[in-house]
This record gives sequence, structure tokens and C-alpha cells, in this order.
Amino acid sequence: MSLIIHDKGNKLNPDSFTPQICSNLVDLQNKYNVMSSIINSIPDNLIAVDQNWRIIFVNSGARRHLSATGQQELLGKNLWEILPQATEDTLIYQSCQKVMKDRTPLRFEAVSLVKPGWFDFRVYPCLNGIFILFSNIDAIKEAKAKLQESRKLFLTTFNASPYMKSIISLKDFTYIDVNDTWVNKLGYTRQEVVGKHVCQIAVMDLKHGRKLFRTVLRHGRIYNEEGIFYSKNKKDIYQVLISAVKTKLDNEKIIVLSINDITELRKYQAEVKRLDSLNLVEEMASGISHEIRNPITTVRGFLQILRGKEENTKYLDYYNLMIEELDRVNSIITEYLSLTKNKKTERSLANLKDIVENMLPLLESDAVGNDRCLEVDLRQVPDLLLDPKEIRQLLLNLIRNGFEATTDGGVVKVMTYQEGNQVILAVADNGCGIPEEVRDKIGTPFFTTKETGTGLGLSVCYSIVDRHNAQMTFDTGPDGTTFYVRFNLN
Amino acid sequence: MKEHTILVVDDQKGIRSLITEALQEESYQVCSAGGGIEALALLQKVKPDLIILDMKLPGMSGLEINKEVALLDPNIPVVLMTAYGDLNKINNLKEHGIKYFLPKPFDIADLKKLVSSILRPQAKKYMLRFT
Repeated sequence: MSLIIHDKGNKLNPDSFTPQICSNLVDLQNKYNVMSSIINSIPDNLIAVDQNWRIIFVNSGARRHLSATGQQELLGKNLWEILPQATEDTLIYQSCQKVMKDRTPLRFEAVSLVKPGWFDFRVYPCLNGIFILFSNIDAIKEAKAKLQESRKLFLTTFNASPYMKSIISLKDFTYIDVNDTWVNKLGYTRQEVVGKHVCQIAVMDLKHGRKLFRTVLRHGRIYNEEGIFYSKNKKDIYQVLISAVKTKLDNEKIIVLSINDITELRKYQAEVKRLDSLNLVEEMASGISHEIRNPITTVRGFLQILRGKEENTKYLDYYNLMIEELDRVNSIITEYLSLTKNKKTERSLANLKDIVENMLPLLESDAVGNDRCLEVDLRQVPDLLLDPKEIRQLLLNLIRNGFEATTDGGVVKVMTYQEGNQVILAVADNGCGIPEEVRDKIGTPFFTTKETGTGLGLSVCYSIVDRHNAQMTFDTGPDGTTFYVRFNLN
Repeated sequence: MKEHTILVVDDQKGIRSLITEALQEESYQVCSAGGGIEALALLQKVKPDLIILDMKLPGMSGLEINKEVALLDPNIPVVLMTAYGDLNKINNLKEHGIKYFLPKPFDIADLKKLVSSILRPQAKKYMLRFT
């Protein structure tokens, strides 16, 4: 590349220059060569024009882009003449015109008018004209699209997960994001949570939360740690398994938490355990009753035979009494030990309130005998498919439990009422409540807190409730315990 | 009039002697066995008119004995006794071809009534033939 010296349009003859000028010119020529080789080697394409849109410089990238063989081919030409595609309505044309006029740089993305592909254009004012730097950004565009896709995929899986998920920044322990399941279960809105410090959103016990965080920070992850999560209004309490991993997002250290709600699972497991022990009782009850009934049969039969003998007529009352007592033993076995789950109930349309009312004289005498007080609040309820014999047993067991849970003068209240699609039988006592450590064991056969209990009373209740497709729950506290049996109306 | 012979099968000695005593009062001939093998041997020997069989026995169960009896002489009526109160088990009995069922503990009067109701129709026929 060589420098041609012009003076107001006329070429000057280098022979007339003094040695000083010649030396300066050589120096200038060297500097020019260095500059143009730098500009030619940059990956961007560069075109510079004067105020009349005449091209004063193109680098090799721009020449290739415009498919020109040499610089001379383009120098001095009008930019818009060699780019007839850049009509007045194109972004390139308008942007260049604007920079030329306003003298402030502009940057935009546009499809090249010469070759296929997206380009990043930067237009700068320069001397009286402008220069345009442009480079192909297809690869960047593609990467961005891929990133967008993967972000979309992440968001979909993040939100569609049945687990509660949250992302927490380790810089300041604030929530970066939570998923839909998290929001739905815990009752917060995303806006309430994102950006807040973890201590401000009290989803779990602070002490336990801190301990878990410390473990994650130390070991990088935790897996299926048990915990309790609370909803915003503290009404929903979830038993959960917490997993967390320490990772990075955009160079920021974060913790991704995955919380598996196992409340239902635990409930089912407890239920299965209870049913299992009921099955065991069923087998035991069946075996025991078989073994006891054989000797009863023999003794009862011979008593009957002896009763019929003439010489024993004077003892007739005793024989009758003995036979009656044996019948009572048998009925105890039948009534009390027949916990058989598969036992067919003889259900017919009956009214819960009537069954309770018919039992009141018996219950009241029981109350008086135990120095307790029985209160009733029986509202009209629709008829249900019930086995009255079993319901009487259920009521008797619940009320006797209530009597035993209270001290002298204690009150047990029986209620029947309708709530939506359910008929409810409730038995409330004002005793001291069920100690927390035994609450899980309630209904487990042979579990009892009483000195003389068999541990079968509530098991029998649960199995009667099961057979009626009803549910039994209880509320307990220092002011007493209430058992609710909920029958479904069909 | 030929006396009816009744075979009682129960592993409990008390039950065996009770039923023997009660039915002898009604002039039946009663023999008893404590298990399946003994019962099947007696069956060949005494040709009973009725078998009273306990369901739960050591070795062969009452139902298994009943099956053998049905093969040897399908006309012998069988009364099955059980101390199980399970209704499901009682329903299954019908599928095993058992028509008569006696739950333990039973009333002696009921036992006598059941036995005579099974054996009486035959007795009536017998009597009719001779009168």
C-alpha cells in the first residue's frame, strides 16, 4: 500500500521534496501501513465514508463482504451507489443518515442487504463523515435462541414439578424464585417472596432452617432431610423431605431447594400400620374365640344335660344362672373380639340421632354410676346406612373413654349434626387431653394407658367406622378431647 | 325300628362325650373319632346315618374329611360344627356342599332338633313302609 500525496487535487512530484519531508513521509507511510494492517486484521467489517457518502476506507473484511477484489475498486465511490439494495426505507440507510446528521453513534441489528445472515451494526461519526463497523452475529443469535429455549424448558420443569422448589441466593440469602407448587401449597404470592430474606418468609422453624443451610454450605448438598413446613396462615402443616444443592447461576452462588410433601404418604403409612395390626387382631380374635368356645360348649352342654335330670330339679336356678353366665362369656367374645375387618355389616337405613336417643337411659345411668355428667346436643340429621348394633357399640366405647378421661364430676357431651355432605357424631370430654407422645398410637389394638384397659376399645371404634366407610378424627388439648365420626351422605 | 348311628368327629374329648351323652338320651347310637384317619376307618365299619364333624381338626380338616366322605358315600348327610363366628366362612360352606351347620357353643335342644330334622324324614319313610 502506498501513499499518494495530493495538494488541492493535484498530484505532487516527490522528487521536489527536501530530505526532511521525505523522511517525514516515510515515517507517515510506515504509520499508515501499521494502522491499515491493524484495521484489516480485525474480525469486524469497516467502511468509512466522507460527508458526501464517498468511500474513503474499507477494510479487507468489508471488501470480502461486498465481493470487491481490491480497495481501489471501492475508494471514492458513493456508498449508496454500490449498495443499491439500501433503499430509503431500510434501517441501514436511515441509521447512517441519522448519524451523519446528529453526529451521535448508533447501534442496531439487521439482516445484511448483500449476504444472508444477521449483523450487528455500529455507526460512528468520524471527521466530517461516518464509519460503519459490522459483524456477523448468526452464531450469537443461535446461542441466544438456544439459551431462551433451555430457559423455557427449565421454567416449565421448574413449575410443573410436584415438589415445592425454591432458589435462594447465597450472597444475601434472598429468594430468587419459587415454583408454582411452592406458591400453591404455602399460600404466598411470588411477589411476596422473591427478593425477601429467607427469615422473612417463615415456612419452617428458624433453628431447623439455619441448621439445614449450614449443612448445605458445608457439604454442598442435603438429601431427603425430614422437616415441617408451614403455610402462610399457619393452618396447613406439611411433613416434608428437604433436598438441596449448592450451585451457581450467572456466577452467583445459589441454593436450589426441592421439598417433597409427604404428609399424605405418612398418613397412609400410619393407616396401613393400623390396619396391619387390626389384621393381626382379627387372626388372634378368631383363634382365641375358637379355643374358648370349645370348652364353653362342653361345659354348657353338660350343665344343660344335668339340669334336665330329675334329682337336680332343686338346683334349677343355679344351672340356669351358670348357663346364662356362659352365654355372657360367649357374647363378650363375639361382641368384643370380633374386630374382623371383612365382617359383613348388616346396614340398613337408620337415623343416628334416634340410635343415640334410644341409648340415653343406659348412658345416663352409666354416667351417674361413674359420678360423671352426660350432656347431649342432638340435631336432626338425615338417615344413613348404619348397623345400629355397631353404632351403639361405637358410641358406648367413645363415651366410656370420655368418662375415663375425666375426673369426678367430669362432663361428656354427645352431639349429632350435619355439616355439608356429612353427618357427624361427636363425643367431647373435658378431661386433660391425650398426651402428645401417645397420639400416634391411638387406635392401635392392645395399646392402652389405663390400668385395666384391654386396648381394644378404640380399635373396635376404628374398625366399626371403617366398615361404615366413615372417618374418625380427634382434636385434643389441655381442655379435653373430642372424637368426630364423619359419615358420608351418598 | 333300627336305631340311627351317628358319627361324631371332634378333637376335643369334652365335645365328643357331650354330643354322645346328649344323643344317646334320644336313643341314637353314637360313635366318635378324634381325627380324620380314625373317622374314615369308622365310616367303613359302622356305616353311619349322619356325621357331625368339627371344622378345625389336627391333620385333616373337617372340610377335607367331608370331601372324602362325599367320595365314599355321597348320601351321608354331614353337619359341620365350628367355633368360628365368621359369616364368610359359613357362606363358603355351601360351596363345599355342606347343608347343615352348627355354631359352637350350641344349645343341646338345638342339636337334638337338628339331628332329628335330618334323620326324621328317613324314619318316616321307613315307618310308612311297615305300616
